[in-house]
Amino acid sequence: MEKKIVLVSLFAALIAVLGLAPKVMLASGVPITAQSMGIMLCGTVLGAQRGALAVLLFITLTALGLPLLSGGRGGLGVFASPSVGFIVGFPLAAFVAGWITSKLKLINVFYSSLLGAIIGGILILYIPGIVGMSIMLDKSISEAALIALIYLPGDCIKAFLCAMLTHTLFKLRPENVLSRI
Amino acid sequence: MPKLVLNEISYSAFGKVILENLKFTLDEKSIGIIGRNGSGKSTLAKILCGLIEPSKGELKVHTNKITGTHPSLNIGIVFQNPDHQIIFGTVEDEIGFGLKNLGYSKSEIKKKTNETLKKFNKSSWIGLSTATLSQGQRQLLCIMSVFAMDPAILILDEVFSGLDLPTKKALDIYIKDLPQMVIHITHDLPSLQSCDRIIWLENGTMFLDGPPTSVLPEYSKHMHKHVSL
Amino acid sequence: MLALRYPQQTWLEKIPASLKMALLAIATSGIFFIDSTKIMFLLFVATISFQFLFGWQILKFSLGLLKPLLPFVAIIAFWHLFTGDLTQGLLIILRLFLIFNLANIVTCSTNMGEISEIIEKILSPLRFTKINIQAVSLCVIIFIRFTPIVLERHKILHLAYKCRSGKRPSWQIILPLILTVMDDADHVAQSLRSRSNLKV
Repeated sequence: MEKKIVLVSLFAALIAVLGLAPKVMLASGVPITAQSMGIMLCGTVLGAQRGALAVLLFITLTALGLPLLSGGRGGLGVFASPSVGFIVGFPLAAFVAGWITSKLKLINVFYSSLLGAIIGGILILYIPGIVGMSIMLDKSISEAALIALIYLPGDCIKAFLCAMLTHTLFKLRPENVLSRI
Repeated sequence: MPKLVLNEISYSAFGKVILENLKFTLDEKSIGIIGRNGSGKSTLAKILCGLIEPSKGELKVHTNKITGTHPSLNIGIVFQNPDHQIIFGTVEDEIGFGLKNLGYSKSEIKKKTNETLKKFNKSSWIGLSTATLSQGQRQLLCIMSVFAMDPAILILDEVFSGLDLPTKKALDIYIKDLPQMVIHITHDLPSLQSCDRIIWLENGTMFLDGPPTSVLPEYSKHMHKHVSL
Repeated sequence: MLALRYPQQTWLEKIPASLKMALLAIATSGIFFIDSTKIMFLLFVATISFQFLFGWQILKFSLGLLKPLLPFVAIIAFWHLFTGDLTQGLLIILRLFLIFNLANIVTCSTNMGEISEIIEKILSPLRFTKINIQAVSLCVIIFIRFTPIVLERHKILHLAYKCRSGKRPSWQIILPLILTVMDDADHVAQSLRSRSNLKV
């Protein structure tokens, strides 16, 4: 019980720190942050419930006004910005990523977490993300989806990295990868 | 004096044997445990306070308080790194945490916290944020927070790590003054000179057991001869 | 860890948080019904002037907070340049800034304690589910306490990598960071367990 509490809190802290880390420039000139990879990792490492709780903890504290989102964003403003759909979708993304990673226990953890990261962290996350952008940017769903394509290459790389990290963590600290317990 | 009876205690994890067939009774007031890094001292400490179950054997705890829960809140343990132990932002919250879990009321917590700070001559720490404390002060706070819970036995697991000499000496004065049974695991041999008993663990087994005057010099000699990684 | 607040105190802090949030909700929904670019512009200028009343420092701070919107401004600007509908584009951009700015005014002038009370009230029906309230509050406390520590770890790993490779790291230090977090979790959990009696 204590281990779960501490892992949830520390992974939420990890998401915050990954947002504060310097951005990486993709070839297309779009800066990507490791923060959304943190969301995927919460799911693939902690499992569905605990991963979603860690993310929920993170966004609740962000809503309170702590500048935890990459770029030092925080407070109610983030829910009034075009990224609102993504932020609201984060806990769901972690949940689905974790659910898939734990359900596919029989498959090598790299592939199950890759699948989890892609389905949870991209497919599921982009749905509320695109809806949010379409409302805030006054575009149709398909137009917003076009805009969302900018994030896609970065997110694919992150999903891959997430799977690699989960796989290595499972080798080195199997008792702490709660999704496979 | 409380009593800890170890009966053929062994512990292995991930295929590695960490402790093997430990059989002794601890009932002295101050006991020192020494040994090289990796000899199993910390694991033994965690078994003694109930945080880890031994793989084999049995530990019997005799104190004047009946405690059926594991880990026993009646055996306090302070670890090496205060950063792993301090959870709260203020000194009162940190000391009050264990008391809350023991079932004290709010007013009782306040009283006990003040009493504890007074005993350690740190009444000025009321209202202080834990972030402003130095490393040695934070370690003292950890000791105070566990002490406030009135444990029958207090285990100190390498609490001197990373502290400079004056800080170590200052902390040592507080430790020697503690009224309960204290089990002190440390590499700082001078602080163990006044212990009632020293246990030397080597490779998970008991190597030497006796008064400081016989064990400590043997240990120093041994360590100087066997310099290796 | 500091929450986003204005660099100086203002009288806005005396207004109860629930009133501010209610006004914000009403204003935000209402703004979506405004079609005229002129009115949107006037409203935006009105909020900026309002912030200017509190002093140049606060205005500068508030304008700085609007920076994260710039990528979206660029996207909208290019889009509407392409479709030839610049007025609509301007409307959207102004609306983004206006709503974002209003939300930031509430955030920066409200005590974190007040907002957390409101969140607690909203979440109180959840008390009847399986969620352990004590565990949740411990999570919040541990998070606040350890985020600076994990950040410090990250800085040290960054430096260690840089001084041995000559280059800035990006993804390479994430694994060691997570490992230290997991190892810390073990120690903190044991320390927590030795002092608490959480019902499993």
